[in-house]
Amino acid sequence: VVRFVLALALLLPACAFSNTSVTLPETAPSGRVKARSPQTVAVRPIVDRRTQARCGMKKNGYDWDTASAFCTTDPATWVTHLVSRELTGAGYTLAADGKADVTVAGELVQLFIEPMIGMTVDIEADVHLRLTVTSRRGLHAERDVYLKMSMDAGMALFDSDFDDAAKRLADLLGADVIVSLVTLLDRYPSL
Amino acid sequence: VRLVLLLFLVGCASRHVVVAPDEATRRNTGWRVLREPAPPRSASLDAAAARVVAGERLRVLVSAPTLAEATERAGRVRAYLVKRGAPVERLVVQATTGPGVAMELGFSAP
Repeated sequence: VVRFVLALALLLPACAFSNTSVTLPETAPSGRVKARSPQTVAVRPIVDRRTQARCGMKKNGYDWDTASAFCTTDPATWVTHLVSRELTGAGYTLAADGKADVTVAGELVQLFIEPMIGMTVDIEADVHLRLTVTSRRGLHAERDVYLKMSMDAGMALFDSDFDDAAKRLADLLGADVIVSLVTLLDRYPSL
Repeated sequence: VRLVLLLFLVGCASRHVVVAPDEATRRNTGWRVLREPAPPRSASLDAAAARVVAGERLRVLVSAPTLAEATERAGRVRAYLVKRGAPVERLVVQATTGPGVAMELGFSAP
């Protein structure tokens, strides 16, 4: 029994030494708001400004960074698709850049998922998206979307927890982005 | 065993991570409007502005469902006409008419 416990004690932390992958989900539009003045919108590809290529990290019991989590899809492309889906879900019509009333561009500054080690394990996900909205009539507005999500992962961290965190973060981001964009665009009904 | 237990407890105590509670709020900003859009061109308002500039006294009535919307719309109309050389003489909020609000803008040549 003692050998088994020792072996388990040695093997369990070893899980934190292998890299993992994070699936960024293709979520359905949040449907939180509908545009009062639907316009044509072009979404430019979000530019990746993250300082590190990985999407997260694993830690051992002593809070040391021991392994990386890599996204299975390009995060900037994923955010671009998320913003586009939310806009169509709110009633806007997507159009080619240069032919739309409004253009949405952005920079992905941060997207990171990491465990917070304590008596139990929490998993925390951050996203920082800088949005820029311009219109043919001259509107130029910017906004920093910064969201932090934390969930209880229980006593131990599993690779699937990274996917769960990404899903919750995607839901938060989609809802925040579309409420924010509709609020701005409804302020200027004829752009 | 005691040593292991001690290390475990010390480890637990040193592993708390403090996250500033207001960090997300501080970094999640509202919209910064760096440039307002130009008002849309309106043939009827262009004609109205031309009449004022030509010396005619003019009143423009703006109607909207709510006072807030009427105020906002009146502000846009006023900005449009002023930009085209028709100075505002006065801004009068008329009595509520039906379910909506009517707002009167007076213009005259300087």
